Amino acid sequence: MTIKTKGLLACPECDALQREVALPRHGALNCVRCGAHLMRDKPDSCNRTLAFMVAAAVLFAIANVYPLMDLDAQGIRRSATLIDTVRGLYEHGMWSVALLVLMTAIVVPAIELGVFLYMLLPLKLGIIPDGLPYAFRVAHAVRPWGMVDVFVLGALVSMVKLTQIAEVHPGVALFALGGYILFLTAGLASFEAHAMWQHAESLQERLEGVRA
Amino acid sequence: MIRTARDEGLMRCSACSMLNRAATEREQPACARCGAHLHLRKPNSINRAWAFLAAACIFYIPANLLPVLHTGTIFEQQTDTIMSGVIHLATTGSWGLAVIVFVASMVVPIAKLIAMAILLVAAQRGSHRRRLARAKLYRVTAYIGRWSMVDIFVGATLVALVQFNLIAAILPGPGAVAFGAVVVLTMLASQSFDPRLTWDPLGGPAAEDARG
Repeated sequence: MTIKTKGLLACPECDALQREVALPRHGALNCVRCGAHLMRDKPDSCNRTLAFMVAAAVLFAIANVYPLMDLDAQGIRRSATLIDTVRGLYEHGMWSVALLVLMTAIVVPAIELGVFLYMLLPLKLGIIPDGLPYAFRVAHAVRPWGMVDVFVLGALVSMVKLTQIAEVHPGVALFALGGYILFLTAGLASFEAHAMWQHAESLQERLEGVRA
Repeated sequence: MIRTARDEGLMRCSACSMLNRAATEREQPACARCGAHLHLRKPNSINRAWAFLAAACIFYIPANLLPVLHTGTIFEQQTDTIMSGVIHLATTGSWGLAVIVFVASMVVPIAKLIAMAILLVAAQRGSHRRRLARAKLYRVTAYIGRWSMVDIFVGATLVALVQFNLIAAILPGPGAVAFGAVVVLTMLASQSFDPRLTWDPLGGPAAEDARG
């Protein structure tokens, strides 16, 4: 007994089963019952996502090396990098908060970028990476916990607060993080899981065809 | 009449959205495409969400009462809770920022606690009222939670930049731990909640069994 599932979609938020329709360019499909977003036509999805993610990765690497901001108080200069925000909390005994900042602002974003590059770069080169399904699940699971956008807002607020006691200058990392947010958002918006799986499946068929 | 995936004996993979043949929990079904664990509905959704929500409510009290930041200059010592930090921003003229921080760290957490409680009570009672509004409420709740982290990041950046050798010292306070816990717990609560429970009371042959 087989159930035909081709051409059917289930809504992630209300489970309503509906027919998949051919989408016009950039067209979007929403659930007929609850209005949840189901899928969108994203031309050239894999390539665009890869390009955006590479750009985001470069900027994120820069953001981890250069200072976030410099502080000038009566001749004493001080600058802090991304990891310094974690170290500061840790040294004052706030290891749990330090861990939270470390995970949401550094580790999770790095994992997310790494996983996307790990999936899409080999696919682009015509290779199916080992553990593609696992990588995909990791990307899905860590998504809500990457909070660099919130971090940048927090850094900006603290900059304004500090202008009362000292002169503050935004550093290279702050601009790099701003760019990272733009590219990551663009990358996630261009990614369509359907397209990636289709790409991987057709690649698999072709590879098997060559071997046979 | 709308049929759900469950009515048709199908399970949607929560990671890659592929439709799989339904199986019981004991068979530990995994997605044929990406290998993620499959559930008809998130297991123990309502109990887990209530547990996280209750824990978040408990932490909400110290999060607001305990200081999140100690600021010391040669002239004055100041301890700030989240609310007094907002007031401080407002009285020093940064109205826009005061509003942003107030919304992110006061309005969002309390709104999220209330929204989750509404969704859970309604799902538990199999309510038929304002279903579409509840679907939207869930979507907003799931999206905004992370922005509450902004105050944690403000503190982290301030602590990193302003150390003892300067004219002022800023130290993190215990309130930050509780506040971070509130953010994480409310995020876990909304992730445990299965929005399909809002729609399940509409019926269908398989509607009765998988609640809770």
